[in-house]
Amino acid sequence: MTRVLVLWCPDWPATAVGVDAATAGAVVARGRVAACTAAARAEGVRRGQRLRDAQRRCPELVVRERDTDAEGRLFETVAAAVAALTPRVEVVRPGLCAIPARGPARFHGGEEALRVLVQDAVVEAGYDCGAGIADGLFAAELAARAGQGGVVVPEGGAAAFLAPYPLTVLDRPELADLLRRLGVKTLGDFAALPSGHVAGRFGRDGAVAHRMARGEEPRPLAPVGAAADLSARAGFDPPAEQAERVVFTAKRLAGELHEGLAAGGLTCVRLEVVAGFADGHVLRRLWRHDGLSALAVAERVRWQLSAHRPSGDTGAVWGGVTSLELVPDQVVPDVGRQESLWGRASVTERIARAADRIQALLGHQGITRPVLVGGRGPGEQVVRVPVGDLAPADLPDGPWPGRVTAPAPAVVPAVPPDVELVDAAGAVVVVSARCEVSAPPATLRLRGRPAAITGWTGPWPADERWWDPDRARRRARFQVTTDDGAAYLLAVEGGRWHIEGVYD
Amino acid sequence: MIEPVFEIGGVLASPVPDALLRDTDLLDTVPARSTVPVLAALRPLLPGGGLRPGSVVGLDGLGAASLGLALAAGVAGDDRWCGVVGLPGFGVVAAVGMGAAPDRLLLVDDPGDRWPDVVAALAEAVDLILLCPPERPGAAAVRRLTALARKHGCVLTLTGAFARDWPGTRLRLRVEDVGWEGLADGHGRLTGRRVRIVAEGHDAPGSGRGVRVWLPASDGAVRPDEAVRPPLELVPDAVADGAPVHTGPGYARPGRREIA
Repeated sequence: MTRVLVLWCPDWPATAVGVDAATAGAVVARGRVAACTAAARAEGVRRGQRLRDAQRRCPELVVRERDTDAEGRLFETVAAAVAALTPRVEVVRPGLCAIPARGPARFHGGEEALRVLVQDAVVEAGYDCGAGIADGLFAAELAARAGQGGVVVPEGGAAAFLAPYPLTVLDRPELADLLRRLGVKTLGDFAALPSGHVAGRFGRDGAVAHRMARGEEPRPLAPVGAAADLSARAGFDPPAEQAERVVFTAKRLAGELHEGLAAGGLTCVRLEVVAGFADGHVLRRLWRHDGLSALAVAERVRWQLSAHRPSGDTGAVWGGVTSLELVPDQVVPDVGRQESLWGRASVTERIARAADRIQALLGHQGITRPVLVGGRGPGEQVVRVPVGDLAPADLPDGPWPGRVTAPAPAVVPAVPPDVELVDAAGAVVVVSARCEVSAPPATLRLRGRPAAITGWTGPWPADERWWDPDRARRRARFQVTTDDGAAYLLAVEGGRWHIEGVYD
Repeated sequence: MIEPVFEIGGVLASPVPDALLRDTDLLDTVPARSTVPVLAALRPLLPGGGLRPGSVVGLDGLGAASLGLALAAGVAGDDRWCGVVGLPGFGVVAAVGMGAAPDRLLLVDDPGDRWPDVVAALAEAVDLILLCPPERPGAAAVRRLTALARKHGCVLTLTGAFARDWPGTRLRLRVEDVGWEGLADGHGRLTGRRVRIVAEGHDAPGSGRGVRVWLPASDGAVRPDEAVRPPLELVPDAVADGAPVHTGPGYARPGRREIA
């Protein structure tokens, strides 16, 4: 659980349009009160009221139209004031920003000290605010609103802190209304319900609300660092006709790129080399980059250029190179050598060198390593990852009902070829919606060549992703053996037969 | 791959037990260190218990894909690397079922006309290349790749339509007596295939050196097929009289059913 400090500026829409908290004022959007000052609230003005009702309760109400641009613009000054203390600020929305509290609290001598420091910094910048620290964003926001200018909720105390709050703070009116009618009135009551039942009754959104009520996080905090363009580029005028000149420049660019990355404590998983030619051709290629030296990067630029030169011809290609750009891809924090990224320990230098050469010939996707993933069909169980890329993580793990049983077919065509499966009378075998086979198959015709069926089994229905109309697939699988000793895994989909696998 | 000379000499000079010398089958199945490993079930097929480094192996006919998978699995399951060139339909799941480690496979699905360069690059790094040439290999490419494979000790395994056009193939593997098990008319599932793998060529002395295996067995592995099919026997006359057939204990009724 992360400790989060939330800074909350009360009635920010009103502050943003220049209404003082001491004067009764309201900000309206589409005829209803979007926000109001404390003075107006004391007179009975509420959010969501119609403007006419608000003015009846408080005749001297200062009314302004809502200006969301001004809210965002003005809040930058608040965020800047907080960023002066700790650089990683997440603006949740104008009026509310969050920072991870653990590190700064250690630096500034405790959470209470940090809370007061942040609050003072913003008040000094000229804005009224509250600051609170708690486990998770939701609890921290309520902590910022609590008491006089916010409180610190001790670690692990979020659930107890949230328990007395009414359900309206969840900002889910329908859920709150329903729960109220079920006799659940506070967050504590709601949190006491078993989570499985809540998810079953109220769905995903209800489950998120339940997590929030129990003081758990609906989502982790995602602070954004400064997004700087770390790529390095150079132009050639006149166009470089010799590869040597480009490679020499590439070495310098790679040095610049590495310096830029190192300054931010970063490294990149892949490197994109973009070479522009005089006649408009652009050659892009991704290269694995885990700890390459500048010289090695230059070498890859040379390979990329040489792979596209007609064999033996050392002259200019496409009018010569006019520009070269090195773009880091998948920038990640540098944690020394990234041993675990793609199993570097298991890939020897010899293999890496051969893979690099093949990637220079065929492109980044040219040489792959298979990764087994979950799936029903034999082709769906394998993902081919280009050498140097990260293997997919968090793969769904079975069970896969309806999976084709072992042994797996020896050949899984990338593009399943169409076949004809006919019965003894010569009619195409049809599988009905109730999975009834029209007649036992007698002949398999592949590319016009007939083969008699000696054994068959099926249909094995596979109805996949029926909840998603775009990706839904409904098919039935068969295994057949033919008189020439071959065995096939066939699939029928939409009345068409194709070969999904050959047990060669 | 350079093996220290003294080791080979050491094996020859060491006092070999007489029993081991008599039992030539046992000698055959112990893989020598200097060979490229194959699956245990295929070891009796090859004189050294493995493939000769730098040699060229040809696969063709029915079952060539499974043989290719089995050879790849033998290498990739032994902590060595295997390259697969020009076979987009390579059954990775089946190879893993035979014992291959998927992270030891390098797949080049579509090398196009650069396939000689791809094979040349891989030959320096991997122990076995499974190659399906997309075109009739030219004499220059054959010479160059054969020499590179021999230099780096990489076994070049050829499959596909042009496998027979590769001169200097030292070993040819094919399957015969193919029989699929488990499928009937409208029910069952494929549970395995019994085949006899036959090795021919310089590296397999004697004509028609063969081994009976399950390729694949019901769990996808390759196993020796020990069961000898019982010869068909005539049903005793007793059945014709309508009397039950009493046979000795532990003795399956002969001839009543064929273990297909």
